[in-house]
Amino acid sequence: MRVEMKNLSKHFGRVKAVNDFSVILNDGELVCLLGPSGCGKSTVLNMLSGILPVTGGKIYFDDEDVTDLPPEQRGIGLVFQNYALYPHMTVLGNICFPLEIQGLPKAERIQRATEMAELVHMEGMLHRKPKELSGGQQQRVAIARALVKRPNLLLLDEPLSNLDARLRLEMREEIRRIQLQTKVTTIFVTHDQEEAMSISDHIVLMKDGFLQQHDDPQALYNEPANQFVADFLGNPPINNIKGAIHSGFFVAQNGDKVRLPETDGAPEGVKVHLAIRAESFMMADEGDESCLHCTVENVYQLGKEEMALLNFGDTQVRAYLSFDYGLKAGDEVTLQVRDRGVFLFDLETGRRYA
Amino acid sequence: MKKQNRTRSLLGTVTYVAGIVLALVGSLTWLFKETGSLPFAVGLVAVAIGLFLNHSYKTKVLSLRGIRYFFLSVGALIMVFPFYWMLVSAFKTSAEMNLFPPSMLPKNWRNFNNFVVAFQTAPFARYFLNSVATCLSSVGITTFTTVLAAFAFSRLKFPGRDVLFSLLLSMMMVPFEMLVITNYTTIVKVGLNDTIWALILPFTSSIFYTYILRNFFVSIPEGLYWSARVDGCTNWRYLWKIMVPIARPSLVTIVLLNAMASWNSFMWPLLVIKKDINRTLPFGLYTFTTEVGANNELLMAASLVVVMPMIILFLFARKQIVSGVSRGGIKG
Amino acid sequence: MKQKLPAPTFRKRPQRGLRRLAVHVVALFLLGGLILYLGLSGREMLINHMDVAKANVSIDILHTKALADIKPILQEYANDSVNSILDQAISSKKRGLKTVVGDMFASGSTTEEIYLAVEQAVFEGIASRTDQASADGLQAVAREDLDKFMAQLVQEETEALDNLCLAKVRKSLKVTEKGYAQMYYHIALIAIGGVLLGFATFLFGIWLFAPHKTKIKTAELLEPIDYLLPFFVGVFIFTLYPIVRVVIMSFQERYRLDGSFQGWGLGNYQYVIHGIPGTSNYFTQGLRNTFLYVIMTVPITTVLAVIIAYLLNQKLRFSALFQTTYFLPMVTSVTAVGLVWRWIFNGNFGILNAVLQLFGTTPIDWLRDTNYSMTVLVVFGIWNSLPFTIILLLSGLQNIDESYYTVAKVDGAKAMRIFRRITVPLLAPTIGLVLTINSISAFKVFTDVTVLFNGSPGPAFNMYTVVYYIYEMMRNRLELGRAAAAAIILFVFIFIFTMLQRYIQRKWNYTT
Repeated sequence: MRVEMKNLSKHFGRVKAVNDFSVILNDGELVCLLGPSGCGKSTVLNMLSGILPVTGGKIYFDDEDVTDLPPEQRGIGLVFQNYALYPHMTVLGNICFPLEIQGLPKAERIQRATEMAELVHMEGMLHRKPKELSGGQQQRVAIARALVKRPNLLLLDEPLSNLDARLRLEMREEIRRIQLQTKVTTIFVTHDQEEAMSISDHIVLMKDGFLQQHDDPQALYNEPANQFVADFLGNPPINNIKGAIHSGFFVAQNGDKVRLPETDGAPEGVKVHLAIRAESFMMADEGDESCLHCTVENVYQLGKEEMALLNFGDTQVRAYLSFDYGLKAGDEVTLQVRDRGVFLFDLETGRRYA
Repeated sequence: MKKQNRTRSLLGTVTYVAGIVLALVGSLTWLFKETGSLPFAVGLVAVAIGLFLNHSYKTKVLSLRGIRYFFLSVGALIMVFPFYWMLVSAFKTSAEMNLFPPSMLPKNWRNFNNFVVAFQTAPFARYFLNSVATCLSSVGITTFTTVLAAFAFSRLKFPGRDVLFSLLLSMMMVPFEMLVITNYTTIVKVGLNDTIWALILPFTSSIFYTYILRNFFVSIPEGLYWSARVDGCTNWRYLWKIMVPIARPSLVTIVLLNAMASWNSFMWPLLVIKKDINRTLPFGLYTFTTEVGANNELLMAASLVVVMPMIILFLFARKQIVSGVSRGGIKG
Repeated sequence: MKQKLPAPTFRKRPQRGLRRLAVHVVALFLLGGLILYLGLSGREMLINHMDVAKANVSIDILHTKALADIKPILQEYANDSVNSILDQAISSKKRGLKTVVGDMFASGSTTEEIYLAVEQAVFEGIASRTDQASADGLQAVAREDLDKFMAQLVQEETEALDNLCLAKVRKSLKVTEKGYAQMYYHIALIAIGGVLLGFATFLFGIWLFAPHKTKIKTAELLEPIDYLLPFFVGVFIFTLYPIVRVVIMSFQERYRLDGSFQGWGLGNYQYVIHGIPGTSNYFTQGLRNTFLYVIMTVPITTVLAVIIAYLLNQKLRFSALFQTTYFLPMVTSVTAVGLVWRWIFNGNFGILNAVLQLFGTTPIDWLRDTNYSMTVLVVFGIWNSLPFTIILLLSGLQNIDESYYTVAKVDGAKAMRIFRRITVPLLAPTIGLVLTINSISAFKVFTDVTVLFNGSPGPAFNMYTVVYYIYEMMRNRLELGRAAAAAIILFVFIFIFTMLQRYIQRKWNYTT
């Protein structure tokens, strides 16, 4: 089912939680609403489900205006952060309950519920009560219960926040698998960028109630729309070096220069951040005027690679470097930047120049 | 099509509201006159018609809410009525009390005569004093022993601590009615029969309150204790300067509940107190009934005096009392 | 630049443990000594008191008995004329004799000497009424028997006399409760003083002779003891000891206030359960009434409270006002409110009858008509237990997570279904709790009955309850053993209920 949100806004008194939010989500996609706490992503989800009334704007499910419809008439399935499994019913009872409300006969209810349980790999636990299940198992049941009535839209509110790190990995793959198998349009809310990046078809990144960028994960990573997007995605976070633009060069505070590609309307002398991904550094060739002089503060072994923490002027920079250089603390190095993974943002507005 | 709907819904709302008004008026008149039944019935019918004409979401919600308020209000009236009746009767004269059907309001709100006579007939001031003295002493001592014991059971380590505590818990189940027999003989044997000590001494410790307070103390993180110890803080100081202030809400609740129970206790004073001047308020009130015979207005005046302190306390500390009762009830 | 932190300094304090030990030793010695002294001096006073009492009784007995013993001997030998004046003579001398006997007793004369003096006084009395010669003559002829009697007196009667004295003393001391009580008061003080002193000596011994480690260990143990002592003194005397005592008492047949009992056995239980054959058994009647009361009050209260709690849980305006009105009866004394209800139920002037009259029914004499006694009690009971029940249920309702309702609503469930399938099951443990607590309280109903029916359990004793039985056994009939047995039976019922509740709560508790 195609979901379209047009100029959606939500005000709580004077607080504007969501502003002029317009996004189109395609049928069968797994979309992630991503952003820091308080960015409005849960608010958007609650408006989509109908729990929160909308202050302004419209919501369309497959071209039907559902903005004023109560939740039970929107055909959605909902999974809360705490799963909200009825503690006094068995797993089977929990999954059957939505069908019971719809008035399906008992045999059919049990059959459909069992199918759903098989989908989420919980068919052996149908007679257990929620308190006997682990966190991951409870979540599977919650998803099964949301899907059993064959909704057009599945909404998940921070589904993985209550799980430990290893389980999170396993469960996010499970969610992806289930979604691919059922082909249900799925929207889930999270603040964990790695989660979003790994399983979504598209990511909707929000900040302070505003849409920042809506794209597939690679695009957000490789072509961030602004400073915030670049800062938010990527581990370790992107390195920002302050400086200014002078005649086609980025000039840092200590005088180091970096040659720039095409800049998009960057006026001369404007203060900028040179944003460099950790994997976009390389050792400079001899005599290259476009380089950065740094001293090594520390080198960290990360198993599969080495990360160097370098002092550049009064900032610190993290760079992935290969083993061969044998760097140690106190060494002076000269670095160059690659073409990919390097961006130029306005220092004040965050607007992207390159 | 739309216009028809609008008039229909408007008509429905009007009928609905008119129906409610009629029904209310009718029911009130019906209380006093037979003729009230007709408008009442008509009102109900009008409400039904109104709902039928306009069964939008809003009217349904309104009517549901209306029913809720109605039911709750009726219930609230029934709960409060005895107090109202007590208040009203306390100011009536003897003649007014003998009216049948009784009047809803006293003729003269300034008629303090009943209070005066009641206080003259029985030493209510003395009863009041006795109750206050018992309450303060008993609650004071109990709070002291409870705080100390709860501290010992939560922070101090000694062999057999947990076993002892579970033993205490099992004793909590024993009803006072069973202990009363021996406590009575103990008091008599020691010769404290008919004194104020008989009212205070058996109630200087409470397993129930200790249990509640100890659970609360346990929930205070142990890190606080050890960092204070490392700074050289003694147990006594830690207890009174840190734990007790943190546990203040729980303590306040315990004190309130204890005070209420002590003030309202009846069976125990009934047993141990013989002389009139040693009686506590509820007991004194009860014996007052035999002295006063059929002069119920005096009784009502006296009862009013007895319940007033508790009502005032309740009005001020309602939230505390309610939360304390629910917490204590669930634990017990 | 990292600077080295200055070396830590600790104030050297004297070993706290040792000091505590010493303080305890001194304090305990002082306190124990003081209490012991109080007890002993009181005991001395008491012994004096007893001696005086014994003396008075002895004097009394002696002089009356002497007269009573001598009279028949004289009567045998006296001729008619002397016989007629014998009584006069005795009665005239009686009062004066008492002082004489008292003086002789105080100065330590033997019983025989006292008897001789009494004898002499009687003869004087006869002489003053006839003539010396007759008196002397009587004395002469009765001399042999009198001597025989005196000899007998020296042997047997002295002892019997002593026992008689003692029995009378004890009886007289028991009659005065104060004196009787004081015996235990001082014994208690002496015991406590002794224990404290013993404990002080024990600690002193440790302080003098024990190795350092033991000293510290003891000192550490002292601290929890200090904290727990005030609490445990009360618990021990008024909770633990009574529990044990009542159990024992229930097996002591015909246990009385002075401690005497007939023997060990199940007699008390038999009396309680079977009653006196031929008469109606109060206890089973009380049990029946109590059961009826419980069955009628508790379910109605629970249902009403669930509805009201559910309504109060919705977001309504005036919730503070509603809460105040619904919870008010909980804080007020049952006695005071009972009086109002008594007035409301009044057969002649009560407002309830007035309301009934409006609806056309005849007024009912609620408080005197036995058919309606239970109704009155039940209505009052419901009104009293509603606030507490509502509070508990409201708390239970509020503990149900909002998200359960939201998910169900999103799935399209209507209010009725939500209530039936989600609210009630999740509220079940609280309902169970409420049922149990209320049942236990209802079982112990006593004050309600006393107040509503002005002391008597119902207009025709028809509202007799279990606790009333205990109270009556204890206060009016002073049959403590039977009261104890009844109390134990009551406890058994309550225990069963509580265990049931624990079991149900565990079964219905889905969240842990």
